[in-house]
Amino acid sequence: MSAATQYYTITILVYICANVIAAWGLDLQFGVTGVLNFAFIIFQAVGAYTAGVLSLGSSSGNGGFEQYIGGANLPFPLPIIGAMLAGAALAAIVGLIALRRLRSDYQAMVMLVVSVVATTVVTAETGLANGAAGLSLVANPMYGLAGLSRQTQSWIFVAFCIVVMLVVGAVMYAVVYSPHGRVLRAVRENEHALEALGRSATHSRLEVFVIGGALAGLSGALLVEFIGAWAPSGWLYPETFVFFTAVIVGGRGSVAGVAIGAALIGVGIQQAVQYLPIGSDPTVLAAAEWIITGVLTLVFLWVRPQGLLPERRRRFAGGSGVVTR
Amino acid sequence: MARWSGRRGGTPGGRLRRRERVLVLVKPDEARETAARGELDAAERPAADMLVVDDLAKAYGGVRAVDGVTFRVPAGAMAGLIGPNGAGKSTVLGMIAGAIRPDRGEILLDGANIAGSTAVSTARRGVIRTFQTASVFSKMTVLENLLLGAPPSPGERLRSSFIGRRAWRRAEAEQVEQARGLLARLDLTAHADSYAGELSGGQKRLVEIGRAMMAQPRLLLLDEPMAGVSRMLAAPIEALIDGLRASGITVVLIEHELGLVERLCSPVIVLAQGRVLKQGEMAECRADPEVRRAYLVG
Repeated sequence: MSAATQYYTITILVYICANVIAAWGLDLQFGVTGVLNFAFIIFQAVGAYTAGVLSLGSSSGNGGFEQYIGGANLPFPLPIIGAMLAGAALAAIVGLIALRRLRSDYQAMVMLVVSVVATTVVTAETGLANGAAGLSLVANPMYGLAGLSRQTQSWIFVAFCIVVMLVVGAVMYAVVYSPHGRVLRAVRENEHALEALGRSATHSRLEVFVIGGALAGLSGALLVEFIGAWAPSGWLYPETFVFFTAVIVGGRGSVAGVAIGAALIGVGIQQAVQYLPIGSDPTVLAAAEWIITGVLTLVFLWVRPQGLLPERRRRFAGGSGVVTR
Repeated sequence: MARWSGRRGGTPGGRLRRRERVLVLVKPDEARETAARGELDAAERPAADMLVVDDLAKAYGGVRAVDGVTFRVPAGAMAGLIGPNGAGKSTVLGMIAGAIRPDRGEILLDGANIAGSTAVSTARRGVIRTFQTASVFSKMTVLENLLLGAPPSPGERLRSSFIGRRAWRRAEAEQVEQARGLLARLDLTAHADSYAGELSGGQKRLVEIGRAMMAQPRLLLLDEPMAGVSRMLAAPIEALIDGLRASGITVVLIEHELGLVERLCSPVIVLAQGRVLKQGEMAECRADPEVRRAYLVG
């Protein structure tokens, strides 16, 4: 493989891993439990910023090139863990305010507003995370491995991302196919009936909000450590709908389906538009991406709402509590 | 069987309540055995009230939906709550179930005031309700619907998805077994793996009642179980409700089909315009000129 092909492959693989992890986070919230988290992207953003700031040195150290709070210079993998905790913590705060008393359609509206407010604040408050220019110069943690070529280091990062994705996938399967997952799906189906059976829907919603927030934070951390930069233009509120499309196209509540959806929508479309006969103007390509994403959402909701790989029907093996899938 | 006390520290006075709950779903001969051992609460205290509703009130804006309702339901009784549309029946039921917060009044469940408790904590005390429109979990199988009726189990905790799987799987297997037994009684075995949303209106009712039975309730609140049920399923559902009475569960039943109320319920409480118009046997209520007028005037 030529160096260029290798770089292309590495980039695609890292993006797929990060997208799949994030989409699983949203699937747990929206696909399984039915929480309309229209602010999903801000949890990825907070993870990216946290990981970035935790791996960068103090902001005064770089001659005022970029400004941000913190700058801890922490070794791998602490910034990534910090990003997950930040995503979970922000989700807990937002969730405790928005998810307890409001009806679910109002929750969705609140989330959308939270997302817009977050972008505005981070853009305007330049001291927070370097405003509109965003963070840059975040080093890939594998670049610290001595005696290896850049490419080998990058491949090691890819391997790390794949391992993380597989672990998250295993966690998703364990949760979704357990009795706990059954309660989560019941929240999606009919929260009043569930509460009348002694299970708190609010508790479940808060829980998936926090877990999903942590997964979003994790995906943001992987992206920022690979790209090296993170700015508000990359996490505007419509980005959330890329993940919603991934979940809808893949199959709500289906772990494997959502992984396919995330790879297709999050990465596949972006690559595919380059082969359309519409020139190579980046603005046009980006617009084409959005149009295809939007049309796919509508088409799937209309024609195949269960998605490419629908949620499996749970059957119980005779006389045992084991779910067969 | 009684796992209500599993999470969040258990219910006060759990011992007595547990005995009551054991009554539910046991076969008649087993019930007799239990009775012979002297463990039956109902037999010990036949006259005790399971539910006392005292001066309950709820207003929506200026409308007094429920305005000082008082009635008692003895343990093991099946009480009928009837009245014209808008009389406040469902609001009363919602307040007992914890779904609606009363403005004033007391709801005593076995002596403990539960007025103002949340739906979740009320259900955890063993008060289970069904809804006016059958509320099944549509995109979940019939068997799963029934499993969600069972009292919350340790397997449902998040950490159980990762650790101690062997322990909860055994408990889960027992519940699956119990649910399959119930499905056989409900004549729904063929539909065990169907999505509940694919069933007919009457079958959804059966699932909802079956789910409530899985909960082994102390007090069961049925909101118009016959609404939207085809004629073919009316008889089986009535038989099922009759069976509940025989198994010793205390039931409050809202129903417009007065023939059913007459056959099954005693006492009958007639509501009109948020107040209790009459309490007693159905025959007495039927004969009462005020009740007749309320039904005609609405």
